Amino acid sequence: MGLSWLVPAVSAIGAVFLAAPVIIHLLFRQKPKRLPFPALRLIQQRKRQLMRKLRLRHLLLLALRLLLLGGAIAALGRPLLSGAGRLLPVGSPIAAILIFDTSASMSYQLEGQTRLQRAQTLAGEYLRSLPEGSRVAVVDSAEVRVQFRDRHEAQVLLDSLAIRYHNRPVLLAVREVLRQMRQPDDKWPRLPTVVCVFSDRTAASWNAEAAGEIRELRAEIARSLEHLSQEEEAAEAPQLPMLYFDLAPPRPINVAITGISLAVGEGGVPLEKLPYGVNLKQPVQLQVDIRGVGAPVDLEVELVVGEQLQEVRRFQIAADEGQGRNVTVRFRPFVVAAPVLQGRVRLRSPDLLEADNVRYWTLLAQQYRVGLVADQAGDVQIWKNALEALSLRGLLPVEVHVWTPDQMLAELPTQPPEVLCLLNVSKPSEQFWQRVRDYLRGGGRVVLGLGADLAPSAYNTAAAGQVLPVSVQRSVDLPFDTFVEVADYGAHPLLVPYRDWNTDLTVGRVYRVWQVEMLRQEDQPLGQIIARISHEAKPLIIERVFEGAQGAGRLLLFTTPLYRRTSANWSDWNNFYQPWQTNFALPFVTVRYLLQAQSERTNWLLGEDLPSVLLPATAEPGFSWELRGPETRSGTLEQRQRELFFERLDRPGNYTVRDLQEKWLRAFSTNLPPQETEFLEGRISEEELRATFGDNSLLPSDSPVHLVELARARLGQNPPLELLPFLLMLVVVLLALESWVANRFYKPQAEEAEHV
Amino acid sequence: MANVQQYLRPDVIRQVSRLDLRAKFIVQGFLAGLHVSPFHGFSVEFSEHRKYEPGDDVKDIDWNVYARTERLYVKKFQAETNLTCYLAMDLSKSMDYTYRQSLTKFGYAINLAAAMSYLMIQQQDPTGLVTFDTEIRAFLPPKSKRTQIGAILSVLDAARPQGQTDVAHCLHQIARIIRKRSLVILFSDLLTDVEPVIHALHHLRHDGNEVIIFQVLDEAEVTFPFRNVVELEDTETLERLTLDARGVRDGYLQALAEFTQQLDRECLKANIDIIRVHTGQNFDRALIQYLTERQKRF
Repeated sequence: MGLSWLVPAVSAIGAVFLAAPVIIHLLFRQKPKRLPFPALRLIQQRKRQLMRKLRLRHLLLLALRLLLLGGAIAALGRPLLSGAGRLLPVGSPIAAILIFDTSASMSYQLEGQTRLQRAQTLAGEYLRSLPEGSRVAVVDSAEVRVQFRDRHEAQVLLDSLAIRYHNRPVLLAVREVLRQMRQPDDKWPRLPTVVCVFSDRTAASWNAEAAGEIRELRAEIARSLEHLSQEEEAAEAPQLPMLYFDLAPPRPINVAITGISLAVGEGGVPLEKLPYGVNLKQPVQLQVDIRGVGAPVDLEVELVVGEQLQEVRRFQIAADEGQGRNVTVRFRPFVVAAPVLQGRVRLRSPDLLEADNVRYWTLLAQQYRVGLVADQAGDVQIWKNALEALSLRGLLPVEVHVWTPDQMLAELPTQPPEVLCLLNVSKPSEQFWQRVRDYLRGGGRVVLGLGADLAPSAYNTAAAGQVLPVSVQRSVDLPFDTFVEVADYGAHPLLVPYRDWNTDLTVGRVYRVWQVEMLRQEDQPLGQIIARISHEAKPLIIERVFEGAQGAGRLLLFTTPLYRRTSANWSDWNNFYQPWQTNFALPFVTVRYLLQAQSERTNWLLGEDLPSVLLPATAEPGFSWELRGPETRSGTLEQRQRELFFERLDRPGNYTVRDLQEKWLRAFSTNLPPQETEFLEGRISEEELRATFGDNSLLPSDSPVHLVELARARLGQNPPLELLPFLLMLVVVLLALESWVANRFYKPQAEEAEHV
Repeated sequence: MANVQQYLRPDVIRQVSRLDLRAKFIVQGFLAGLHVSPFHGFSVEFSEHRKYEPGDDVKDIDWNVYARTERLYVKKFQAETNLTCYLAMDLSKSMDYTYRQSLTKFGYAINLAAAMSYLMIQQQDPTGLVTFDTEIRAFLPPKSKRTQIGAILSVLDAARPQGQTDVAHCLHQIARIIRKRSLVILFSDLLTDVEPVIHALHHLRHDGNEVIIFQVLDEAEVTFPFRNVVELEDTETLERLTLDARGVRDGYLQALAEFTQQLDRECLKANIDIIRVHTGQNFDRALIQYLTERQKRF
């Protein structure tokens, strides 16, 4: 409750007079008259009792008289009682910042209105209730711009608000507004300010870091705005008035597609985490995750591939008992015949939120050729099995070719693989080295493991020197406890996966290596040592980069064999393929590293990242492109660049990017983040809201009181109640009470009767 | 006679410097009015006749009456005074107090004592005087001569109340001094501890004495007429207390009532008459009222 004064000067002066009786009493206290009195002992006998009683009487009378005086003075000041704490002046213009959550969850339908429309209605009513001269800023959570306008212009802006699928947590918008408010520019109105937030308490609307900063900013701004307060006499600390209009549906009913995955075994790989697309020749199986909240519903879920309806599944999601229920639907496998395939999955359901009933997908059908070369076919078996398994699981769409060195010589010029793995070539010829050199200079990528039975002379020729970064000297037996030594897993991209998997490469033991010596050109080593072994820090993995017109070629050289034999006379050079090591790890990491430059993500979540597509290697300045999909764009490269980034794509859907001749094509899909329309899980508690925006900030949408009236009451903007009549009544009552008490305490002497 | 009584009211005769006159007029007015002395005893003076009855002493037959009337009457003589009276006067400083009356408590008590001594001596009862504060200060042995009134009033006139008092101690002393059963009339405000006083009174009563107490208070002590904040000083102990007079008035009056009630209760138990007067009252009226009630009792 707030108190203001119609004639504040009177009350201020009166407050001084309130102290007058006490001051006069103290200043002009009479010296008591001294009188002899023989019967004093009778008083002294009950002195304590008499004095205590007397003191109480005095205090009671003093309190009554002060109250009487105070009541009279207060009445002269004509106090006004406003509805709530003294946050905003009554009847004076204010600045109102209305921040709207325009994310997809606000399109939830309730009583014939989306939540955003309801917010617009409430805000419109609130706008109309503001005093003339107030300034209003309408802020969209998707795009924060604080511009103050008059009420009529603000109403126009308010009406133009629409759902923005590419959105950000509304809390980030609030934080941005408060940051600007902390250091206002000249355009910021010098008026008491209220901040209203219209949102629905979904987890996606929240940001814990921003919430913490908002709390600090509120306190800081309140201090800085103190001088704007028209009620400086207010005893309580000033607060920044903030209101949170809670538009969360009280009992949401919603069915949503929360994700599409590539089915692999019992699980699935979310398409957003599928960097390389799928194998062109192998069937793929999609599965969708569906989450139902609220009442049980009958559903149809459609898979559309290209523009063809591929499959329809019908099922029911049972009642969820308030926790939500998750269902996974797996469609029949199909083969991706084209390099780019797009489609969508759509739910047909009677739920109240349409935005999350469709999900778009894009699959790139890729096939990387990997050539495995060895003198003996058995030496490539481990790598062949690993790469084919990875391809089957959708993790690396590769086609594996096994060649002898002679077959390689034939294949390399005509159909060069993306990666060439030389696992055991004991005596490469001059021609062999020349072909490999040309391949590398053309941007090829090579893995070379020095085999157990290689001839060092064949690796130390001049032709070999144009490929290898080292000269090979002799094999060296190592002490038993020699292990792979990695000082920094972040130092090279090849090693980063091991860090991410939290796997320590030092469990890898090396028993024997080829001693090599780094070749130099103009005093610069031809290669970079990526990993060593613990014994004498001998090199284990060395990388050489070849700059060429087609891009950088790379060679990864291992000084220990990359194969293992099971024959009796075989002695292990290392334990890289022992059962406790992952057979897939080394081939996967090595080949993926060498393919890295060509990976491309095609499925994006709105608001999560910037969708990007790789440009062709030949794209030069002047290259023109065109984006087609729910939104369209076009552009021309002004400088050489590798990727195109698409900022602020607001609408989910399937997009394609192509050149003007339609020879080059890339594609991607954007979808709503699943947490955007999650109404139950992670719902922001009222305590959290109050802690962030203030104790009286939360205006629940299910409140029986009209929200706008409630808001005005919370902000102390209800018409004030004049207290003068009540105070006059109080003064009369106090006067009567004081007279009664005083008369009771001090009976007139006339009534004194003879007591003896 | 009535005019003389009206003219010679106590508040008029206090202008007369001689206390004996005051006593004389006051008590004469009293005697000539409504009352007969309640102190009957054995006296040589003729009192009345009554018919002879068998068993009466023949020497008491009034033969002169028989000669005139031929009826036997016996002469009844007033008995000799056998009641010795001691006037015990409190000389404590508290007695020398008046707030707004013309007489102090002491002056008022002297008037009462003079009247009582006049009354007693008029009846041929030997009357003595004891003045005391913490000790006995003066002692006049009881005599029934008329000059005794002058002697008593002379002592009282010369006395000056001062210092503290120890009523109980002095009453014990008086009890030891008195040789035979007597009437002890105590004039005091009794503003002291009650218990020892009561104990001393019991001592007197146990020795066969009759006791009458005139508790003399000032009008201000009874009505507590003070206003505002005052600093009250005990006249004997000189202790001081600053207080809001109107605020403590009720409490004081209640304490006084309890004090007097306790005295009355204890005196009733000991068969002692206590007459409480204050200086705002006409003392002859108070005296008359008491004696009338006493006569009714006897």
